[in-house]
Amino acid sequence: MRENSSKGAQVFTPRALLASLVIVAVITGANMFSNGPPDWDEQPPESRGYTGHAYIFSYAEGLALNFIGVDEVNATDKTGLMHGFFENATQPCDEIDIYWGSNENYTCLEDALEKTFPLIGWNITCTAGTALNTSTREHPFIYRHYNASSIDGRNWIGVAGVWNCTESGRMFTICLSSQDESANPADLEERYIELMSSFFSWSYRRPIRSGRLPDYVTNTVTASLMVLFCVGLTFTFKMERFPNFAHIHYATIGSAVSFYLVRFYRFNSYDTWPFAALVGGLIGMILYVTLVRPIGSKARKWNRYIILTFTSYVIAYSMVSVIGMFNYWTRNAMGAPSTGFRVGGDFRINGLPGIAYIGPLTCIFVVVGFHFFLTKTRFGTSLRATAEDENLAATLGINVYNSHLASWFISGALSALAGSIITLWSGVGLGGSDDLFIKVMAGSVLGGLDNIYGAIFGGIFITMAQDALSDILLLFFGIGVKMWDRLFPMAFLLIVMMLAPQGLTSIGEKQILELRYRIRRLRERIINKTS
Amino acid sequence: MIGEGDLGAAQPERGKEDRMRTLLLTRAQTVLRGATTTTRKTGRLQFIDFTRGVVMAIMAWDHASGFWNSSHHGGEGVMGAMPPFVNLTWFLLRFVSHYCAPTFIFLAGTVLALSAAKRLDNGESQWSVSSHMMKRGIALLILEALVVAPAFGASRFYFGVIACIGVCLIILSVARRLPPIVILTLSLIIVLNHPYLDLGFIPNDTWWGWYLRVIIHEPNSQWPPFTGLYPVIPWIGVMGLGWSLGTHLTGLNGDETKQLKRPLIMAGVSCLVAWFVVRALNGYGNLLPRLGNTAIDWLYVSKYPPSLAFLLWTLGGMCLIMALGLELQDRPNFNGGLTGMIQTFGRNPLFFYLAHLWLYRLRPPGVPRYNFSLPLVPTLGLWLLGLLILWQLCIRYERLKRAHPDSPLKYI
Repeated sequence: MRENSSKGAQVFTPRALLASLVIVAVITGANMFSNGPPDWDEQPPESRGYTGHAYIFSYAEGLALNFIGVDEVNATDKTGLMHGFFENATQPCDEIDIYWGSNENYTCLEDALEKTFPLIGWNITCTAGTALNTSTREHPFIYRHYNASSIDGRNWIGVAGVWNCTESGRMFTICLSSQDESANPADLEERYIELMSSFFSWSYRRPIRSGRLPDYVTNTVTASLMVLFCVGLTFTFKMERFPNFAHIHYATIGSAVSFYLVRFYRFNSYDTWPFAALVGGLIGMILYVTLVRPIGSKARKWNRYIILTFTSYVIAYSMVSVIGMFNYWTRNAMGAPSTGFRVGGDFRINGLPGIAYIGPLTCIFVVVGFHFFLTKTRFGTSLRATAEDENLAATLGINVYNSHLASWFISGALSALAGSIITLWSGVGLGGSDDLFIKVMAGSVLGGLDNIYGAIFGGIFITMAQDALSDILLLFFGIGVKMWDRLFPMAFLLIVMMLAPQGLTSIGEKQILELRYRIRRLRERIINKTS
Repeated sequence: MIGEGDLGAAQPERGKEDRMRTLLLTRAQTVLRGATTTTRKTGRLQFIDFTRGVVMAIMAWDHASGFWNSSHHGGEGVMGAMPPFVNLTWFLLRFVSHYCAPTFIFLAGTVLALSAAKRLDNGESQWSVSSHMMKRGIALLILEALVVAPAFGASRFYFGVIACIGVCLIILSVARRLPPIVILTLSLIIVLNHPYLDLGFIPNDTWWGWYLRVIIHEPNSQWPPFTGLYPVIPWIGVMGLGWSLGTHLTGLNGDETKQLKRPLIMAGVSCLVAWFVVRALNGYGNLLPRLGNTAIDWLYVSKYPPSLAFLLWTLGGMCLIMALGLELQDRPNFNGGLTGMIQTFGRNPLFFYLAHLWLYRLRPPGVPRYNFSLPLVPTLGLWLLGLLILWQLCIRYERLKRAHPDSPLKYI
């Protein structure tokens, strides 16, 4: 230190500082001399950005913006009219008109476009051109050229279009007009497209639907999600010895968290995953501390698990109600319909949405991490010990309360994470949770309710088998079978419980031999009958 | 009678006692010296913590206002842009925040130099010091992508102040082996000459070329997601200047450090005078010209990238705040009350930065989705309330960090 200190003090001697300053002055002087004075003419910007009334667009410098409300009310986020014109223009130049309002008044874009022209002005005769379809930021958008002339003899040409912002539920009518009759329509169209390209907001994105994707992609992502759900449910069952009916509803909460952050805070959908997992985990812990533990400790031993099962059922329905209120609030108070908590903003690789890659990878990462956590860490071992024998674990000095708390956190976080992933995929509606629960239940039972690794297998199997069953029935009974889609999980659950109530992983050599024997007997009978 | 043999036995005993006494004395001296050193060090660093704490609190205002006020504007100088200000009040409320980034980066360099010297002093190898700086730089880049950019609603590629400091740390982890006077000279050359840098050889019609330009010297937000406001080239110069101050401070004892007050005041005032000259001449040093003679015209300087006028004003102010810190740090109640609170912020700059962004951007349910904006006074109240919460968070974080000195928290 002394050496360094003295060294530091010695370095900045007046002579060294002077030399340094001379070098700096020479270089700076040379730069100033060779580059000359700055050219300020290049500095003023050519365009400005407008941010307000919940939309963004850029416009040419010098354009004056006037905002007018509808029905003698000031312009609001829901409805309004913006008129932009050049105040000091001596030459004919562009004018911009933007009208925004609810999209409920229009049946389709063409209908909205037809109603656009009366908006342009009073006593105007329009000669509309051909409508051109395109989309801006994945929102439906249609526009057409028009020529207009007013009764005072003024003529102008323009481009008018409607843009349906599906996320905010607003229809934007955007007109770009020019009084210069000699203006080139192609140039005008180019300027119009430029205007539209600046018309964006992160939240204005149409959700990606999974229906158009290949089956193997859909199945892989669905299986990944099922694995997360099944592992969580099985883990809770292993720790608490009762099926947590509220398990899937954490997923709805995870979806709601993701939706909220994406819509109202403009998060990237992927960034919301940790938050969703955290909220799900915390809710799990709160439920354990406030309901499950007090009720479980007060209940008698013989009816403890059935009371806790009922409790979880009540919790599940309470969660549905809370999410329903949230849904109502987002739709009516905030003007953002949840649409099954689907969000957009996913990237694409090779034509597939990013979630098709990230979803399965996340699942593998979580499951492998969970495995290492349970087998390689001291806390994970204590969790397993508590699951095996709580009293013995307590005797060994393990804090079983913490273990239970952690298990509720983990299962809640896993489920909420899966729910958060779903928002990029297909969305989970309020009623969707029940269907999902049946599937997850079937997967967990199939894997053996006591076996976490079996749950992984069960989750994958139930997804594949249900898909296969659906295809087979479709072959035999035609498209009408799709009406019975919701019955499949239940049918599967019943079949699984009848054939292997302890799960497929519990099937041992004896059961396999017995099954082979039965199959052989059946085959012999068939051969005998036919011969 | 004491025989020879007895004498012989007693002498080693006495010798042992003497040795023990000497050893104890030496140890006591070492402990005392250590204690003196610690006091001296603490005293020396406190004004830095104070200065950093002051600008952190101001920065919190800037971000609170940015998240909650529609009248709050920024982006001074990006592609020559001049954001509209509602009035002088709103302009000044934004303008005060200009001190934050330069001070933050300058003092990051200072503390880095002090920390590197301390590590070397503790017997760590040069490689260990460099690798620690490099890891910290990488950690900052990750934090920018995962925590900071989402807080601003920006993409993960956004190159903000934390990413800039991260890259600067990585560069300094290697460049620190240069002689301090060379670092100082290079830093001054960068700060004074960066406007002349021509990156025309990097193509700007490819995403990588564009992004490289953003990272090196051309802040803008025209091509999302490759946006950034804090390019490395001018700011590494500022950090280098801070490093030079840190190197200078390692050679000073407590009394010498106190004597820095006068030079700091002189440096601060000189910078402000130089700023006035640069703005009056309206040529070199102004990336944005002075268009008139109103207060806004004089004070409106380019922050992205930082012009010389901007740096003179802000670093000059920083010198004066440091001098104030040196003046205050000898007062008995310096570690309590408001100054204590400010120092707590300054001791945990990165944690404060990460926490305050998320705290102020939170909007409770019920707040309208679109165009919601608070008036000035409630925003000020919100800012102060946030500072109180952040103070408590910083205190707890400091305890946690102290309890786990070898955890990854050391990188935050």
